[in-house]
Amino acid sequence: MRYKVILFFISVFLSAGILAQTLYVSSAKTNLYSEASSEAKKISELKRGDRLTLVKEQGSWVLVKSDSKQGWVKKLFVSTQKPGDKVSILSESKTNKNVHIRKRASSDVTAASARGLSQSNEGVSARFRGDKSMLEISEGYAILETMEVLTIDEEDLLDFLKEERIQN
Amino acid sequence: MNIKKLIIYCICFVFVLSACKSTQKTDTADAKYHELEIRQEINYGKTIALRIIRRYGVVQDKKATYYLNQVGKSIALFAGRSDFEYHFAILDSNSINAFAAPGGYIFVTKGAILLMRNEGHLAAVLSHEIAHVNLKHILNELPPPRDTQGVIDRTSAILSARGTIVSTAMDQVAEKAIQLLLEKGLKVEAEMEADHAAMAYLGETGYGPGALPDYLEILKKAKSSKKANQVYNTHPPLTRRIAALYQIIKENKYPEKRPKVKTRFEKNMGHLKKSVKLGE
Repeated sequence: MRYKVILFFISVFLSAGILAQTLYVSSAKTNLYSEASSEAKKISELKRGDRLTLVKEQGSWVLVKSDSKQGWVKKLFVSTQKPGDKVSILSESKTNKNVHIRKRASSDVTAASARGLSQSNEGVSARFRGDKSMLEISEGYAILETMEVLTIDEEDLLDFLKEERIQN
Repeated sequence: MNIKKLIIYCICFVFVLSACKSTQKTDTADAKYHELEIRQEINYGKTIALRIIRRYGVVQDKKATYYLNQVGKSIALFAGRSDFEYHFAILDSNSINAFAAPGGYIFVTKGAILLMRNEGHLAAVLSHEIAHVNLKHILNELPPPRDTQGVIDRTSAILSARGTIVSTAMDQVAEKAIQLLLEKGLKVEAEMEADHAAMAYLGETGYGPGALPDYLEILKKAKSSKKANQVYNTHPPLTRRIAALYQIIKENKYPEKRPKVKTRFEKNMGHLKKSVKLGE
């Protein structure tokens, strides 16, 4: 009897910590299918962050348990990492706008040093510049910042897709 | 129940309890480590993105850029990694190509957009690039140095780019990544894998996966008619990619009739066609 109890605790420990691999839905929403095919019957709709238990893998699909249901989901749309807040590294100039930027002497000098190019590979990379010189670093950085601050709400994106019946 | 048994039960209970607690601790540590990894990836991507921007320049067109981001971020909503934001921009180049840097920095050339006929084509190209980010192709090929978890800032960008004061390990790897992206191209397997994933992303978002081989057919024609002399020259041969994509559509039974969205595409991107000759 004593050994049975010990075995029970050990099995609980193993199944909780090692055997049951947890997956999370990474897509905004995806389907749980009865078979490993997009043509198969849809069992239910899963949404981002839903917790799944991995049963087995088969090609680009995984068989999972979701609550009381079991079905197939595409491997591309699940992750072992729980979706959290987006990590953001906003540019330093957002907090310090007084960085002194020294004007360069020549665009070519900066272009070459930016690439860390030797004389031999300068010619290879120069063809991408065409007739244009490379942008000033400050100008390039300003463009990068503009890219980073453009955000669109999830609801607006869904409306954008629904407008043309891309999503229902 | 005698005392011996009670002690054994207690030991087992404490054992399980401590295991649960240590799992919680591991989870917290994993989350912190994961965040550091993501910060490093974004930092690496920024270093590469800055170089791409400086080399090509970016089309300063609010309407077209916002629309590009609407399409790109919509795909990322369904098929992107949820731990960072994806950013999209149009490169001021008439050559035909698209690039993705780690951390979600994605670029499409103006030349590539001018060959597109509908939103499905744009979604197809962006899906392919999002796949490169998600599948960590650059990260795996050229991992960033482990000791650079800080934040790239304007000062360090300037100093390191000048190459006179600071030459960090990150800069050296980023330079290699630039050569890989813009000159050598990724491995054929990585490109094919990105194509494969892009088809699934398109399907998941609601676009027709057929848009990808359809666009590649346009590129193939443009290349053969010499309208464009720099067509995806960092990618595998178009014939091979197109054949593989049609095979994927057949095997996965992807739906053929999905919205192509021509009018909205023309409304937002049509004005870019003015004063441009492809391949220049």
